[in-house]
Amino acid sequence: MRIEREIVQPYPPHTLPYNPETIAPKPSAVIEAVQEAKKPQPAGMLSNLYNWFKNLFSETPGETEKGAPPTIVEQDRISKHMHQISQLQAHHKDMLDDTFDPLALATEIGLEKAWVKAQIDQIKIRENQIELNQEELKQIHEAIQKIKGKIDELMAKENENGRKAVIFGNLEVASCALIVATLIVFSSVSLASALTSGAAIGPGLAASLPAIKVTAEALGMLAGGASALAKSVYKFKANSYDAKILGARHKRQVGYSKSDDLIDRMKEASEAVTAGYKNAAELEKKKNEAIRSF
Amino acid sequence: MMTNKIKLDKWQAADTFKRGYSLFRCGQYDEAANYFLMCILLAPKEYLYWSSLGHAQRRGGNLNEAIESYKAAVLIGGSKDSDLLFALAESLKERGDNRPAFKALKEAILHAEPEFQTRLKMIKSGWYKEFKNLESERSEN
Repeated sequence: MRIEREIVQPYPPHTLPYNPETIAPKPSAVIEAVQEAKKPQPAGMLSNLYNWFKNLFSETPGETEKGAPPTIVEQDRISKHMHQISQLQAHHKDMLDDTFDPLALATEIGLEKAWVKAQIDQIKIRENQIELNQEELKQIHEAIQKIKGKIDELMAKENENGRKAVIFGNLEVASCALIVATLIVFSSVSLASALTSGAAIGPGLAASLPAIKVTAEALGMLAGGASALAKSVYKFKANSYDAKILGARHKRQVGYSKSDDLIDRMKEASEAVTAGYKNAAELEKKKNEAIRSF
Repeated sequence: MMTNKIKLDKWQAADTFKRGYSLFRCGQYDEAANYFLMCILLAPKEYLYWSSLGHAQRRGGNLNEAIESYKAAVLIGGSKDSDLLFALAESLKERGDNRPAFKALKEAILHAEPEFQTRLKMIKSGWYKEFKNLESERSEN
């Protein structure tokens, strides 16, 4: 690249960051830049997530801490340049424009875009440059620990509730099973005793009859026990439904009776009004007849 | 994660670009090109800086350098920027590289917005006639 003139403006010589005469542009700059651009970039969302976790638990602040937002002047400048770009692009749409110069427009648009890019880059860098001091970091870590503790506590509570529910559920099933098992054992014991007693009476037909009778009684007892169990279960269920879902019955009854009373009174009132109208009509009729009779 | 050096370089690149932009607006294209060059040394991955350098070089009369800068800008990330592609096409045509110019123009048409696309197609048809005439003249000679 050719550099001929000395740069004196707008940088004063002592503040010039680089002297273009001493720094010769590298011929391999393009190749390096292309290679850099072609390097695979990390996946956006995943890297963000990774950075977030890293920042959360690392001691140094990362990229997500935000600094000073863009000032009004900066915003104005950016919007002005953006407006400029849109105005330039509007020339592309004007098909009747005789002075249309696509190359000049391309140059202008390219420069404006680059200016906006430079300004946004600066704002982004400034936003990311503000660093937190040790005290602020400590506060953030404390806050994170508090939140984590609270979450752990809530999770433990949830787990405890879940465990209790499981235990009580098992207890309920176990108690029901115990009742049924007791009943069956009791019935079978009685049946066995009846059978044995029946067998002990004698091998003859006369002797076997009481045994059959006792057996039948035992079976009846078993059936009775089962039905009693079913009834009690049903009753329990019905009561529990009443209590839980339908509410207190007597309160509902009081409500019903009150509404019935109200309806009755309304009926009475309407009848009285109708009767009043009838009476008034009769009186009017009588009055008219009296007038006609004169 | 962006290191402090890269941050500083990017910051300075943006600052330098703005100064170059001011010079460009004042019509001092060579000085502007120098600033854009410094800008690229600090942030070589920004294709917009490369294209700005190309514009400044072109206005300064350095057509060959401008074409190289435009090509670099296209390679780095401006392969879908219709304005940049058109500038490259125009520069190539000016130098006499008709075929590459035509190719660049086709690329520009491909990535342009509909209205600009129509304009570019009209330009393309004009160029086509021009190139045909040139070829016929050459063949006659």
